[in-house]
Amino acid sequence: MTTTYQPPKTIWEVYSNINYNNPLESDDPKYVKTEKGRGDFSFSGILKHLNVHPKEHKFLGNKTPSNVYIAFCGHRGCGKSTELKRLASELDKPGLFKVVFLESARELDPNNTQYPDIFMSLASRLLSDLGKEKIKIKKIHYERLENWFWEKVIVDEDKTEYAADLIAGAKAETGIPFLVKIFAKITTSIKDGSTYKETLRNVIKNNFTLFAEAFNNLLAAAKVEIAKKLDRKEILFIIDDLEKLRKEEADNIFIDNVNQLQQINSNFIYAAPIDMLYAGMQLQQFFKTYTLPMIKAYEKDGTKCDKGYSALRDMLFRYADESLFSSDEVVKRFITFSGGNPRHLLQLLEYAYINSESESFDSNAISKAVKKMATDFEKFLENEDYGHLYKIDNSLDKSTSDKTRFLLRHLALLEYNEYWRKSHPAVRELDTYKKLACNK
Amino acid sequence: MISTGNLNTEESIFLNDEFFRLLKTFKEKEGFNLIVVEFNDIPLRDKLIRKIEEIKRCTGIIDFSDPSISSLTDFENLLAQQAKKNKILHLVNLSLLEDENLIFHFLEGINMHREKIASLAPVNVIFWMQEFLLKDFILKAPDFWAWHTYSLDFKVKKEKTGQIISPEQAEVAEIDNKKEQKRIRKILTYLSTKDITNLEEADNLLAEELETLIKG
Repeated sequence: MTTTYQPPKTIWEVYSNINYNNPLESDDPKYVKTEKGRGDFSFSGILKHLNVHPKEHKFLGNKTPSNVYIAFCGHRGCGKSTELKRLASELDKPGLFKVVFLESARELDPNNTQYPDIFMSLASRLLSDLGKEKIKIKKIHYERLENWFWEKVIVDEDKTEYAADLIAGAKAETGIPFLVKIFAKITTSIKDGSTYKETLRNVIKNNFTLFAEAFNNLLAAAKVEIAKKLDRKEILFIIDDLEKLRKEEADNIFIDNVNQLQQINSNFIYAAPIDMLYAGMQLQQFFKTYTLPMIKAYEKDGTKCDKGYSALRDMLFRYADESLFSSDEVVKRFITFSGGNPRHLLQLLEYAYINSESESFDSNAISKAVKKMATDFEKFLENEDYGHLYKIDNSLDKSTSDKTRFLLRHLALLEYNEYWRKSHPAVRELDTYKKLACNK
Repeated sequence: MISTGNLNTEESIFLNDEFFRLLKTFKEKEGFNLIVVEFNDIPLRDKLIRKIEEIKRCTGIIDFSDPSISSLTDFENLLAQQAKKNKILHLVNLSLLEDENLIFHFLEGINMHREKIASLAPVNVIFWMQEFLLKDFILKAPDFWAWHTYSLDFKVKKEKTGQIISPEQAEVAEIDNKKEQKRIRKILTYLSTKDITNLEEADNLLAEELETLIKG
């Protein structure tokens, strides 16, 4: 028996159920397809790049993609993780891909991530999945990886400082189960900041080409076996959360070590910091880049954008029953002042609940919520920032200066597709902005 | 901002709208719930913490001035321990971390470790923060800040006959360097423990604190 999803029917329930920690799974009833509401953005581009027919969901001309490297960018709270999860579930199907999804913020040390960490973790995930699916790989295809580990990482079991720790608990195993344990141990040793973390990393870096060759060997064999057993014709790695890295670390992975990234023969989608798109064309040189824009409730000239507006409206009603809103005008204000950012839409619900003096979301509650959101911006915006935002709003400044990037990063400025930018609607409620607008 | 006139009695503090809003921010359901509270008066902060304990029970405090917290890992370990025992955790005295660099490093750290912190502490977490730190918090830990449920303002409006220098003003006046900033931060933290209503009193307290700093 299937149960129909019922959105919360009290404002208290609405508030209790909002949780930012976990991106929505693709089968979550609160998930709303927002693609059409984001302007000319479409996942078809990514699908085509992966050689997948956007409607029929099969490989175009039965030809699988090879070595596709995609950087997926988007502003904070725009729904990147949710969309990546959905994409993963759409592509992880018979006839298409075996998807290996890495939530790097949880599985790596996000305060200090480098490219070896990513590949050790991906190897660990893939090997573990092969084990779980009981996929048999002939020794000839993974023995290079074993040799790499013994000859290049361990070298001398008695002399290498981390040897005993890495091998402990794995020695009783052989074959793929041995490699599963080893790569999991390497990943946790790096993540948890073991005393030998840097030494181990350097050893991996110094021998990365050999690792890549050995891993490619395994990947090629795994692909064949996965196709036989699971009817998945290719492997796709999706690495989420790398957009949160500090600039130096992101540069180190996506620019300085891009050649290492591309030594692995497979298909990759990396979540990457949006700032990198504006830093010359370095990212675009090596990756096919896609940006997930905000949902557009309105066009630049203020006319309503029906598709975006209704996506946001639908989203709002999945979190709060329609009966909880005192009028359409109140609904409209929630949508308008979210700026098309899903997280801000939820934040407005929370702010409205806390300020509500009734059992519903009424005009008073949304007014206070908007004021509160405006205050959030007021806390960090400098006087000159308002002038800059005003100029952009009036099409007087189309540059991507450091100031513009700062405002985009902190969402005081929002970016929409069909490429235009506008200040966050809550910022335009602040007196400093209003005065500026009056004086011009 | 709350005016001092409204805060003469315990009742007036706890009948304040902002306090009702604070109580409303707590979530019963398990999950990380970040609440940011801006304040400028340590005795008031402590009163509020005590009152929350009276009403809600199961509250714990993580005090950054505790010498056992010298790294982000120490903080995370303590957070995980405390979250097992409590439903509400107060994070206090970030401004008293050894120096400005450590504070910035900590803020960048919690930004990167947001998911980890949220999974370690599936409870209500109240981050008590002075005004001069809040902007740094927003800018240095934007992903962490993006997950806050609500921010509240318990700043007390104190009548003054003059202005007390703020770290920002110190920058404008180009008063020396980080060392000076750190001293001013300490002084401001110290002054916020006192109920100052006139500049003369502030002067005396400043002199007293500076003397301690020099001796220290």
